[in-house]
Amino acid sequence: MTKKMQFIWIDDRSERATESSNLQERLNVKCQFKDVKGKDLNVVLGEILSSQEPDLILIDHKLENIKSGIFRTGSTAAATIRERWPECPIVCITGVDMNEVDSQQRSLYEEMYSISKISRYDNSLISIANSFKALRKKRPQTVEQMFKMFKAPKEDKERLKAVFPKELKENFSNNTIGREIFHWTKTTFINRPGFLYDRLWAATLLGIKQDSFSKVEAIFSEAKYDGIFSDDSNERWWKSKLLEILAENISEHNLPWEKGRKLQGLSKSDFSKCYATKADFPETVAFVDETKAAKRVQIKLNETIPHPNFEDLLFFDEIRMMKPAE
Amino acid sequence: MRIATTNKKKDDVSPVFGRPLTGAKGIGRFSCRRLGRHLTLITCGTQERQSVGRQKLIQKTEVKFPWTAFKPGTDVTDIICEGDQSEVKNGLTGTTLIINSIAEEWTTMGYSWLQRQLAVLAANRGTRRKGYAEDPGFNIKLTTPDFKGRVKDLRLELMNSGWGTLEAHLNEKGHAICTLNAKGLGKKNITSGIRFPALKNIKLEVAVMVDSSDEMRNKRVLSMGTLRKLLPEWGGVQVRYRGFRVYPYGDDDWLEIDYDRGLRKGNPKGELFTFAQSLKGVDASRSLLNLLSMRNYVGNVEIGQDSPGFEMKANREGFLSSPAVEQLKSFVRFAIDWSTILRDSYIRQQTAQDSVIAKNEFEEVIGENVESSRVVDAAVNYLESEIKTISRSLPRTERKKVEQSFIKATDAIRKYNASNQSELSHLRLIASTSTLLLIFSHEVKSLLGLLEQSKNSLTLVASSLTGGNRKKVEGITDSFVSLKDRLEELLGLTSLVGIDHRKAKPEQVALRDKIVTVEKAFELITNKYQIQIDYENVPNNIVVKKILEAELLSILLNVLSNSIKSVIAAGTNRKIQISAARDKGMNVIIIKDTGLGLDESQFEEVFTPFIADPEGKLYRNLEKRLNPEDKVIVGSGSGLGLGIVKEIVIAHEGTVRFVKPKRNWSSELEIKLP
Repeated sequence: MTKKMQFIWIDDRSERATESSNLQERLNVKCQFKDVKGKDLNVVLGEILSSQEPDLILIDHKLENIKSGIFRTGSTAAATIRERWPECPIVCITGVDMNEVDSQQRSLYEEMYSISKISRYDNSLISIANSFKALRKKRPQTVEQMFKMFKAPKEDKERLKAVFPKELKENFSNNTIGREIFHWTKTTFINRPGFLYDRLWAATLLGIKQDSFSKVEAIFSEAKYDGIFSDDSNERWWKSKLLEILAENISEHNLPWEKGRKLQGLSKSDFSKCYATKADFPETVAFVDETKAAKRVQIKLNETIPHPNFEDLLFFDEIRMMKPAE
Repeated sequence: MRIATTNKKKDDVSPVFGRPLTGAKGIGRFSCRRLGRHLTLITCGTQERQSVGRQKLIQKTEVKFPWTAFKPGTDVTDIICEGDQSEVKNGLTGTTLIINSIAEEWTTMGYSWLQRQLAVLAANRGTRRKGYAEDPGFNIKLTTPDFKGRVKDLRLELMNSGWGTLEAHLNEKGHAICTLNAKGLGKKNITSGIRFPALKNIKLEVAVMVDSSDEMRNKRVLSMGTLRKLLPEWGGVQVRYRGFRVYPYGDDDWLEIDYDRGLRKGNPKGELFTFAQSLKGVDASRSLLNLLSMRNYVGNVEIGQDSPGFEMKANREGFLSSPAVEQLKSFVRFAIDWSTILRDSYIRQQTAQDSVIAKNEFEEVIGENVESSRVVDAAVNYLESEIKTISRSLPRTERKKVEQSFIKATDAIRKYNASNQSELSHLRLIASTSTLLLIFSHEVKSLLGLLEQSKNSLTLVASSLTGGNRKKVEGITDSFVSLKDRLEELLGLTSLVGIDHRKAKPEQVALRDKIVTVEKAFELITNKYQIQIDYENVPNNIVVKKILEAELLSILLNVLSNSIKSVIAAGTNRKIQISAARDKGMNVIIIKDTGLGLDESQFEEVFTPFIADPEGKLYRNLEKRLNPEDKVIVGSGSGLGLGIVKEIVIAHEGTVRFVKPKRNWSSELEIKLP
């Protein structure tokens, strides 16, 4: 029988103990709730750090109800935990507006999630815990070993080698490498379209609407990303594999968004249209504007401009923004 | 020696450099007499008279003028002035005047006057005039042992006499290091985050000259008159390359300063925006609006001997385009823009200080302390009493006229001030309400966490049940999810209220998306009262450039709130239509509704603060048609909504107005935004 994963939840709101046990049941993990209300967090941390390292720590950000001491936020506590367990993933679960937390404090957590949406992150929590565990169990020593963990297709390896950060390549023996690999994998490799595409990008590549991708998803199951830090609530597909499978299914020599529409099960109502002009065959995905919560849409490339808040990265798709009407 | 000469009438510019000649009266040489009892004039020239500088053979003429011999009644031609002529090999051309036995003591005032006159010459750092040799400019050094004793470089004094002196150079990593010494600010430094890797051995020295005597550090060297003469001809940032001036930089707008002023570019980019945000009282998005004309920046950027990347054009008119040239421009603009932001901060501080000084001086006059909020009233009262006293000495009819005019003027001041104070206190109230709103939303957000928890607990319970009971419990959890999502959407809007305006950046904001957001905010009321909001004719790619998201939402919230109230008050056929299109570089947004409408005579008045209901019919009808509990949603009408819309739109160089509505519509509002 596989041993259950061990989580620790540190919080100064006693009522969250219920959610901790909900989590335990939903995720089939062992979740120990550490109520620090009115307690000296230093003492509680001391107790935690003297026990076995867990697979994941969840911690509240604002710790206002603890006994006064040097810890007032979860990020300060996270920094202390890291001194002892440098590669233990720490996720912040909070009720504060995440925009109020400065970037330096955010960097001390692997992720920050809102308590009011915690059930949406079940898969992500499992993914983080499992992936860090895998990294600890079999630490990669070379780039090739790292790519094995990504389960990268052969055709992507050379390009991946070129973009994989030099600081990571040269420091595999570093005891914080796990966090740095997670950070790069999450923010660049997974979240930037290029090697991996999300549902919207994959649909755009195939010339169909995002909702219609589910009609053909099964054909592309081989392309689904299931390497390290893969997350079922944040699915990705290898772009190279999508194209390969498309070519296997549709032998015509056309652009991918023309070929994609010929897949079985699709009709005209599934075809994508440019968000700006309603023209056919939108080739790319772009943000509608510069605001933080701007939505992304399928759009013709010539109706877009480079997004000012994103820099270009080699071998990754350019992040673009809808061009204002003239 | 001729008393007067027609020379300057024939040729009003100098023969070699084409410099404009001054002193057309023909008595300049005699004015030397006023300065001292003896004048020795030494002039060195060539036969040809066109050559300047070091020459193989110079003719030197030395003449002594004993002014004491020039007694009244004496014939000028009878006075002997000893002279000597000689040839000098390998000498320099030029003229020297030696004035001995000073007639009277130089006063500080006289010395300051001299410096100001010479400053105009010192500003000449070199130029080219068509048909003449290149004018090398003037270097003027003053040695005045009786006045602080040191040798004074007048150009340096000139540079330090304006509002500020700006210097910049690059460190080894290519970051710009800028220093500003300015009035009211002292010395300020900045090291840029941005690098200029194509530049090496570059130095910038610029005097920031503001044409206002209040913004001069040293009026002895520089007067307003001097400045006004100096700037049109000598203003501009010149480029010197390996010691030589490179034309036409400094004569033209190579830094695009006047170009940007013309476009009213107020918003600095990147790290300078962040820097502007850090300054108290500065509106970062408008901090470059005080950028001066290119002529107000007087100085040079020196490109040193070993600076790579600069190649002169074949015709010697500037450099060939290269990354170094582009970065040079960016480097100089970085320094100038940074100094402009600091000057904006200085201006704001000065305004605040000036008001405090004015208040203190006024308090001294009236002999009592006055609260800040009552300064205008107290000043007007004081003026009234003084006018009454003065007018007593006037004839009766005159007195009445003066008093009546004065009463009208002070009445206007009092009423306008009272209206401003009222608006200000109302806005303060709204601002403090927003704090309450933020506290409220924070508390509600934490309750959402408990809601999520309850939903998750119920989901687990449902999973252990079967059949109908399971379905029931799953139904309850679904309602929890919908309720939670709706609350989160609404709370999302309130977070925009709490935006720190200093951190928020104007950006491109898509209109249609924001209409969707605002429509959702009013969903309860529009569903309840069956109000249709149609925005089919708002294209997806209508984007407002450079506006805060919260500002665009504020415009839409206020405008839609008005329309919703109006259609409810009107009764049946509750329709609101929003359309948008591009026209002559502007986004034209039209909001039409089938509400009560507005008389044409009220089209302007309705934007006045506190005029919520100019015709008095909106709220009367709303009372009849609105459920009491819904009053909270549509509001009781502060009368500020449209005024706020107008302020925001105008601040973004747009327009807003009511127009005669098209057929089948009661009201039509037109907003234009860039």
